[in-house]
Amino acid sequence: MVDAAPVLEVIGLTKDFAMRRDSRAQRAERQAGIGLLGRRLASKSTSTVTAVDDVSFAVLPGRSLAIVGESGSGKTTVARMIVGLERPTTGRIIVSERERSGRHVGSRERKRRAREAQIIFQDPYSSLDPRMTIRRCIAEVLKLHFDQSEQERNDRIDQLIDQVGLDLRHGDVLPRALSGGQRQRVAIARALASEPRVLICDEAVASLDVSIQAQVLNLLSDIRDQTGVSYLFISHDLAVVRQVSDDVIVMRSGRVVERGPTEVVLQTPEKPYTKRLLAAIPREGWRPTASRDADLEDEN
Amino acid sequence: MTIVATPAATRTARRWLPSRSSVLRDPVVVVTSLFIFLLVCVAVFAPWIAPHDPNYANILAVNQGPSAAHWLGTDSFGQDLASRLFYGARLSLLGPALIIVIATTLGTVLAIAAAWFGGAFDQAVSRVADILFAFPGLILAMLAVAMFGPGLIAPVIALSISYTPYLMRVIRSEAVRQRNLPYVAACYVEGLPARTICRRHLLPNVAPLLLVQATLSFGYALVDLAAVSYLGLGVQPPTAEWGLMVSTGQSSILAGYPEQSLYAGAMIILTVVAFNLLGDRLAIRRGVDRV
Amino acid sequence: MNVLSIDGLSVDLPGPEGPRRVLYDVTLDVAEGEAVGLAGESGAGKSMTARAVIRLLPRGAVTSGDIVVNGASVLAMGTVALRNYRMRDVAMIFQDPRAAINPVRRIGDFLVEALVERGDPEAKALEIVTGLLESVGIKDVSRRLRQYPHELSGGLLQRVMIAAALAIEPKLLLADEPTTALDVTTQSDVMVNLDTQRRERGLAMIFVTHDLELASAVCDRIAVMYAGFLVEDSPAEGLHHAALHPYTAALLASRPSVAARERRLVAIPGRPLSPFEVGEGCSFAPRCPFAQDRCRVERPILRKVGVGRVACHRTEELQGQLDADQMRANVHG
Repeated sequence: MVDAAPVLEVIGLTKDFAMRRDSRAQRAERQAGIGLLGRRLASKSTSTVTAVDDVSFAVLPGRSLAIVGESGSGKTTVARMIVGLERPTTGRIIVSERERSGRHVGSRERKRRAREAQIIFQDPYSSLDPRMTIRRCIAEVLKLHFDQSEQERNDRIDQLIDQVGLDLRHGDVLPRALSGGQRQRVAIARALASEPRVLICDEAVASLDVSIQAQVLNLLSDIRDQTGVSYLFISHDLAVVRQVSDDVIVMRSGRVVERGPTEVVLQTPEKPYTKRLLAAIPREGWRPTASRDADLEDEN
Repeated sequence: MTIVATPAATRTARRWLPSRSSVLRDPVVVVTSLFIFLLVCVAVFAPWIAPHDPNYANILAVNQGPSAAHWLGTDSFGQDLASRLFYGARLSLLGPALIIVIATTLGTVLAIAAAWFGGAFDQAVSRVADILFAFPGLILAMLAVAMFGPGLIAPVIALSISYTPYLMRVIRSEAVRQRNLPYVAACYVEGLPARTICRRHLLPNVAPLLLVQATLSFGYALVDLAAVSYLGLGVQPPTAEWGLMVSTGQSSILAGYPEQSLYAGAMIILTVVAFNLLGDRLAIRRGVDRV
Repeated sequence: MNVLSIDGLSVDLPGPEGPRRVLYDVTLDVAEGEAVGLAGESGAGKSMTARAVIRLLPRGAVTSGDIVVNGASVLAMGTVALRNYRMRDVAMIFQDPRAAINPVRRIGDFLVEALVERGDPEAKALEIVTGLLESVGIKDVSRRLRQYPHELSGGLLQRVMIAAALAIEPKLLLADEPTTALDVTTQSDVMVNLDTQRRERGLAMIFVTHDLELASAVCDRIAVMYAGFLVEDSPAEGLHHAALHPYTAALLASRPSVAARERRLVAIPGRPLSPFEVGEGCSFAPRCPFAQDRCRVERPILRKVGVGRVACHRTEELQGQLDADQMRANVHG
């Protein structure tokens, strides 16, 4: 195998959120009657939550990495940090062999970064501007990044619409006329318009019906074959992860618990958390099993 | 949740108005819009359609009832009421229009900026708005008149400043909501400059709310300005203006001639009601129209 | 003896251009102690059916057909009878526990409320409720009772809702996607709980879900819905390898598997139809890989086939082909 440089690399990524309001624990404490006298004043307003704790991974060109975790695992925060929607507390993000600093970046640099990594969000119903037709939506991206004649641009829009399996007629409608699955296809087309090297799918199929999910997963697979784009797939659904990714990392409470090739990790998991995740997936012949006490969920 | 994708659904994007078909089918919207349109026509074409010079006082024709010469009769100075109402429409509509335009523009710019930048800027703008909120519009108007003299300009500016915080607050909350939606994040990640996102995406999506709020506020602005005129702080007699007419007609009421105050008052009420109803219906439609 | 008998239920909802049908002639029985899964994709009508059973339909809904619970017709009940019915005979667990509970009242108050309304003295109600919370696996019950909903996690709150449903000792439980909003590990725990409690008390249940595998695991029978029609009603075990309806098989086959990656997933073309978009003939015909001319013009009626019921013209012919695993394999050619 050719030892190519990773298209996306993350080293020691950490994100702390300062909680200005009381956390659930503090409120609960108060409820139980500990009161002002029993609490140190310092703890009132400076609790921090570490959403992402020292996470590192790399995605090689043309490969697909999945980040698996349940709610609160920090997987979405990682995705948001990579595309610049959150600023990391510490750590390095390297996309297309260029460092992304934690400092605020101007729109010029942001525009350049748009050609490296793009993101598709979970909710198809709010990830498109409701007042823009599909064509305008894609055209906006093309106009921003490419110097094309109007004809060239229109052809490219047609090409993208077709590539995501939509009818050209759909180009002239508003998002409200499209179903969830169709809107998600538009989101994919828009993301592909800037020709990124890596596409981040943040629970991109989680809100879709099962039969539509299958269509979109097939589509993503086709796009990978056609364009060679790499995927960073964020999901809580292990079956989807098995289907789309070559490698996987399992996150829990902000940390990486296990990592490796998808086949290996899902076939022969080593860590107890991974095993528990696998055991909880409904499949043929499966029966639900209790894995822990109810109160342990409520880890305050 | 299933949204229908009918192949024939080619809705062209209406960028500023709620979807045409649903709004225009509403009888209330039709009637109030028509009324407002007529009012505006009357105001614009007053010099051509008014039967008399509104300020011409014919002392021989004081306090007359309706006749062929004077459609609505005359007031205590012998001025033609109908003409005064027509000409009055000009100032009575212009004043609030100016207030709304200024307050909406200012409010929207601040709202979107506050929503986009967040943090300290947002806090600062919101707190200033809160402070301004504490001042009743009329008091500010009276203060302005005390400083700059009576007329249209001072109260209009004062009231514009007074209305801005409310509009800013309302638009800001929607702008913040829109800003937190994934499509804005998508634009950001696509590399669009901030001002483009605000102009091309945030603004059109708060526009429906803006339109509703502007329409509703127009009525309030009209009443406030009429009150200012009523108090003698706005335009001065003999200028025709509805609020002023209500005031100067007061003495005639006791004499048994309530027409001047009544007609002027009625115009104010009808106009305010029209705007309020229209604004209200647009608000309902906007709720229905949401994606 | 059937706890629940839905007989030819059709529901129309008011639409912008006249009434729209959302349920077409649904007929379903649930026996005592039986768990029936109501499965399908969005818009299929499964939630609507469950809500019809407790008569929680949207304003303006027009129903025809009947729903009989323990001999009484739900659709014909007067206000008092309906209230008693909802307080004693049937209980519903909703998808989002946070939307189903009053956020400004304590958990204890919420749980005790229904029992006190029914006439139980408060002390006794508290006792029952404490016992229930323990049985759904909650520790430190007295503390939890004093807490507010926002202090509990989603999984914990859903257990509270289950306890609330069980508190009134209903004959029938309606669970509308109770675990969809929960993490998969939490889902597993909550399902164990629900299942255990249900079996212990011999309660009948309708379990609405989009997850066919989950339904198969906890239900005795699965009723599959599509575009407002009930298309299949079969025992849970047989579903994976011998479904009666092509939609069921295709749905099972289109799900990716943790065990292996497919070259390509079985993808039913098109999208799930809304009930009011259905034309002549079988609702699934436009998307069905086995559709024939007859299917496009003649609407199949739900009929008995072996141990189940199905609404398909070609079930007998297709026997052996409606195996989810085989359909997966066929995609590779």
